[in-house]
Amino acid sequence: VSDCLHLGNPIKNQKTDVWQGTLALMVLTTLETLGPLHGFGIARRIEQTSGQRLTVNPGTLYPTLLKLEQQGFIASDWGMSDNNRRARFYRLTRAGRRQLLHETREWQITTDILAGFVTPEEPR
Amino acid sequence: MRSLRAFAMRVAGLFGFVRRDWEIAEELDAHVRMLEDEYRRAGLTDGEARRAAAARFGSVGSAVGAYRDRRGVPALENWMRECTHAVRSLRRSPVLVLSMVLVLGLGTGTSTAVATVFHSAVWSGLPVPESDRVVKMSLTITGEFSRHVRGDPSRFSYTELTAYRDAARTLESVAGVDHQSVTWREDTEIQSLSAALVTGDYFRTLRVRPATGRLFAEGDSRRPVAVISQRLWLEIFGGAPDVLGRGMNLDRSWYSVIGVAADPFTGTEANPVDVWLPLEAASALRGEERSLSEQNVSWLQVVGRLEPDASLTTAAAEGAVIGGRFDLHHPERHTRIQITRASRLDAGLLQSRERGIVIGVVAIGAALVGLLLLICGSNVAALLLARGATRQGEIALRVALGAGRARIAQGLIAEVAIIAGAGAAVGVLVCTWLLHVLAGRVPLHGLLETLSPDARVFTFAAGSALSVALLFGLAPVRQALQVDCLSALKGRGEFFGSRMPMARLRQWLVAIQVAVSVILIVAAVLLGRGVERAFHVDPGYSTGNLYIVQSDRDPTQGAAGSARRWRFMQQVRDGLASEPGVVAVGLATIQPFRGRGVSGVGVESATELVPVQFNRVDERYFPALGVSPIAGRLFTAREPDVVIVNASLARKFWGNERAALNRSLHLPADMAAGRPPRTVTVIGVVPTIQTNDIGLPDAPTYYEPINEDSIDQAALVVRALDRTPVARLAIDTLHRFDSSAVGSVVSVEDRIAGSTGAARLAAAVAGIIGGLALLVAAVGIHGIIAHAVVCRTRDIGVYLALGASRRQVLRTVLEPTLRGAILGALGGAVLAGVLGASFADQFKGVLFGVTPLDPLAFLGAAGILLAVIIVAAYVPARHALGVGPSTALRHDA
Repeated sequence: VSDCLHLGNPIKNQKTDVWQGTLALMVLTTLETLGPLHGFGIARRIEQTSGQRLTVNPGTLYPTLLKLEQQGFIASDWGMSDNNRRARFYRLTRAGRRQLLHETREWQITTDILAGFVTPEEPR
Repeated sequence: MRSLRAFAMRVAGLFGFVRRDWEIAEELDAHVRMLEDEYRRAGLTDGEARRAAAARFGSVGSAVGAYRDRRGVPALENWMRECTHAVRSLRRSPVLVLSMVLVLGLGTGTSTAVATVFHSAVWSGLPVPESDRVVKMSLTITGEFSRHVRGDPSRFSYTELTAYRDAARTLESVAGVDHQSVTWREDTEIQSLSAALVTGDYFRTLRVRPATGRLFAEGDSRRPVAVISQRLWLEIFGGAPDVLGRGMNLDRSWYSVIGVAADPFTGTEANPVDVWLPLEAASALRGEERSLSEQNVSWLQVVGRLEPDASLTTAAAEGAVIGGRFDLHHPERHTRIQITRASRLDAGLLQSRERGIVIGVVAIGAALVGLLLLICGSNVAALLLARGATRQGEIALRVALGAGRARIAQGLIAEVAIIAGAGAAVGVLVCTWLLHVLAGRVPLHGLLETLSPDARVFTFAAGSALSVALLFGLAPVRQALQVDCLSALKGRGEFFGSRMPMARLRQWLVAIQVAVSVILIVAAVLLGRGVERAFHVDPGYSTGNLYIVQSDRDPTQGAAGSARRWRFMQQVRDGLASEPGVVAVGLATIQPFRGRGVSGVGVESATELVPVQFNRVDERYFPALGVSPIAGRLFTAREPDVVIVNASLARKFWGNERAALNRSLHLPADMAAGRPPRTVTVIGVVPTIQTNDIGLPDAPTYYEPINEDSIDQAALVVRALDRTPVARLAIDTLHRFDSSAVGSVVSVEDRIAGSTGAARLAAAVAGIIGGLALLVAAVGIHGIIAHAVVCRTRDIGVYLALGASRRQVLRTVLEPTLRGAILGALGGAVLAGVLGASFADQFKGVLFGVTPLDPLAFLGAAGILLAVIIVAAYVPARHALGVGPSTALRHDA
């Protein structure tokens, strides 16, 4: 199952591999910041954080959540949402926290390296 | 780790332990509802909110699908579904499936059993730590030489052993072993023990650990000490700790027990050792010290342990160099030292002269197993084809409903795999049972009793079952996939009078299988006849009532000792000959079926020395055997410079027996006996008898008169009348002349029985495989014909309704299969003949004079097989005759 994200505006309908694998990191970060949250909340938060430039497809989000749970990074239980709906709430486990630290570091290294290659375009 | 955990969770998900379906539905539903809430909050009406949410969410179905795929392992789920389906469909044709499982089980079980036997006999190392670094050395001497051989010519002399040990850099340690039988006397009781006389490095080389006490150390080589086996300790001494320090009277000398070698080590031979003695000390005590300084004699087996950084190759290279140094004083001789990994087999399960036979047996066994698996495979393929023919309708339906070919192939492969699995399970049972049976039947020094199926056996069985089934199952799968959907669905693929699909292929499979069965059965019959022949073959003299009497030597050394022994042996010979019931007693240095003497001789016609065999016998040896000369005469007592030759030698050098008389033979110097080279005259020619290998006439041999110099090794050959208590008489006579002498008596027939062990193993294995081939052929052909009858019930009904006779119906059903069978039988017979003729030399050792083209074996094999096939075919075919026309026409399958 690929963690492919559909990008919203302004580059609509363009799927790119750059985003592959990053959804897990976004999920972990979201749970770290907001605490236990249901799938809808996670999707909403990711879309907001991206400034509505990303759209999270439920067909991608839920398998990713399940994968993280199978790996032991998050755990889930049924609970009640703010407006009294029964929903499955996900929370970060200790292994998940470690994983988040690790992945954040990795991401920083990657972006640092890439930054060396992709210099901002100079005004002509 | 994480991915492993994730996979485990997914497998758990497969069985519904994670995220049940309702949970997935409810979670996604909650997501949609929350979307709706959001739109409602933004001011849309209920309906608009619902539509907008649905649009935003996208396809619920595909989301559920993706979610579920992540929950389990989709590929595994497909396989599981196919397997369930396969089991259900296999249950519908139990006879065919049972046939296949049985066939596979018998085939894999037998091959696994044979593989297990050969593995432990041939490949498994000694039961010692790091056994892969334990090697054994053997000598190959070629060129012109004369050498005394005790046991077999590949062994070392003590001086060669020390020279090798001092020179070898690739070996951590080197040890020599001489296996002997010793007599243990405790009070008045006598028991024969198997002893190993070993050099001081022996236990260090093998890294054996003591169960109690200690093993030999460097200083022990000259002390009268003994190490006993754990078996002896437990069985005879009851495991008592006070066994240490106990004295044992072995061959009239006292040894003190210093330790017990821990199980499972029982020596380097498969024949377990009871007691280990220091070679040097034991030789001195037994009056054999001279053998330690003799250079040109083969008597010690040599084992060594490679240095950690050395390989077999480097050790072999070094061995070649050191071997060359052995020839310094023998310019015409060429000595090679061969180094091989020590295994139970070449450690002496069989002596080296039997190794050729064993390699033959292994090769035959491997070939037979291969052939058996081939039969099983073609059998299973034929049965699968038969089954495939009836399943075209089902497959066509699945294809029509949209199943991909890959998916259908997956289903068919699942079926094959299930059959293979069941076959492997049956195979393990068959293997266990066979090993049990073999252990009881074949006396291979307790080797087989120690075999038990382990994980490797199960893996082998499963692996061979699966590979055979899949390999041979591929053709039927292809056939099934080529189904013509439309016609199969309309007419269910069967038209009146049509040939069954792939009939020709099936016929070929039957033919191959029968051909291979013929070969296997011929092999089994031949080997069985060989073993039988070994007991009835005429070696040129009667083996019944013929005994060998040996006695131990008294410890006097040197010429005085030889003179005493000469006198003693003469006394015993004459004393025993005068006993009632004893016909004749002779002396010989080389006893029948034990050891051989090899020497080069010169004749006028040849410029070089020609290697032949020799024996040293007295004037009564041939009368004791019951052999009389065909030309010339026998020795008179103490005749110098004369020789008797056998017919084979006479023909080799002079063309015929008569021409040999009064010719000269040049004999080389004999260091051991202290004789210079000499020229002797042939005074007699005796027939070529069999004293080395039963069933094989001796090589060219000359017989010299025995004298004081060669008396050391001599044994008595005793010819007696029926029911003469030779053993008692012989021991009494020995004691009459030396009250402390210890002797052993063995009948030549027992010795022959002992020397046929390898051949009996081969015959037993071949017999079992031949029997199984027969059974497999019967089961397979029964299955094919039974299936053909079911498939053609409608045709048969029509034939019967149109007035066909029973014979015609039978012919229709049986003809294709039987034609294949008969063609196969003929082809197999021809092939077996060709194989037998081309490998005649290799089979010589196990056939005991039976020719590989033995007509009885061929006719017997073909006859038995055809009879079995006809019965196997007739039983289901009879059902065809019981078919009523009306039922047959209604028959819809």
